[in-house]
Amino acid sequence: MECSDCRELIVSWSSGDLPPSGIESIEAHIRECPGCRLYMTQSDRVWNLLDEWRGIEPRSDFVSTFWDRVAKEERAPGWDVFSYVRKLRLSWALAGALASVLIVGIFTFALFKPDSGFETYADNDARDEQILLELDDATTRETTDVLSIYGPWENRVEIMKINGYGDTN
Amino acid sequence: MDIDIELMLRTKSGDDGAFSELMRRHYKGVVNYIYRYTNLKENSEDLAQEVFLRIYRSRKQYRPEAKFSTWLYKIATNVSLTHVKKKNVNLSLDEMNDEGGEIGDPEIDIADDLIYRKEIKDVIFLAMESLPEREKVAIMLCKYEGLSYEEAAQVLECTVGAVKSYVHRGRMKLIDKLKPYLPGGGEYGV
Repeated sequence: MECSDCRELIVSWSSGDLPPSGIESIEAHIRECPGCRLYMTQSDRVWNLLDEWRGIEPRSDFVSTFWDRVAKEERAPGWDVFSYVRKLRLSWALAGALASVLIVGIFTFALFKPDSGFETYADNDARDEQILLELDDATTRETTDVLSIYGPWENRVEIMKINGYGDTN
Repeated sequence: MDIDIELMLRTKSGDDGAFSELMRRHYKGVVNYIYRYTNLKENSEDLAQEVFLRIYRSRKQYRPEAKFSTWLYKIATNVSLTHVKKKNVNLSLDEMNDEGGEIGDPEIDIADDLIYRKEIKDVIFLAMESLPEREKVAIMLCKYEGLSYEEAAQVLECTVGAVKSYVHRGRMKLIDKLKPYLPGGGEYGV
């Protein structure tokens, strides 16, 4: 048996968790190996040394303090919304019926509610159109004014005749 | 049926008295486990109550699939670890409680003994703290809480062989750390 194997088994050995065959092979190895013998001794001593770290004695009112804490948390608002709902003991059928009524109500309201949004849109649309017409008129007037330097359009035929371009018909 | 499982099933069916009995059976172990894990005496009881609170809140979902104690210590480990991480607790000697919490024997409760116990407690804590998390938890569960390798394996969610390996490796490291405090301490060769 190798020393590493022996030391791994020493833990099981000291906790009485080894089969007889394992115990025999460990004991044989330890008899001949001073290093493993020392390791076994120190391992046991360390294990026992850990007992020197003693525990603490909790307060005797641990249990009553616990229940006070539970009561306090249950009283606190918003601790657990679902627990409050559960406490109402609503049946699933009743909850379903309430949900259905709510949904039908919302749809009915949406269906029969006067749709002021469309009118608003039409008004806005008309207003936009009016603005466009005014802009168009203004542009036309401006263009006419600019082109007026070329003279009145009604004299154009006469001018063409004078210049010998012939009859426009 | 295991008494803990029976009490937990009664708690599940609405018997709070059964849960009180369950707490009485285990709260000292849980408080001390958390105390050794965090080395903070003052917080240990609060955190232990948090552990039982979590169990109480989830009582309706309880299924007796494993030993109650493994479930309990798994939650205690998580609560302790979360606390240490969240609070970024400085687990140095500065944070350690001077009282130590030892139950003094009047006959040996002398000043030297107290100094020794304080020192050895700090040394053991620091040695344990230097171990990897799973080795530390494995040793704490098996050594201090008296859990079997099988139960520790359930807490750590690993195999029994892995727990033995954690304990073995942890013990080897503790020998190195605590050797100066062993009577007749010395080297061991290969």
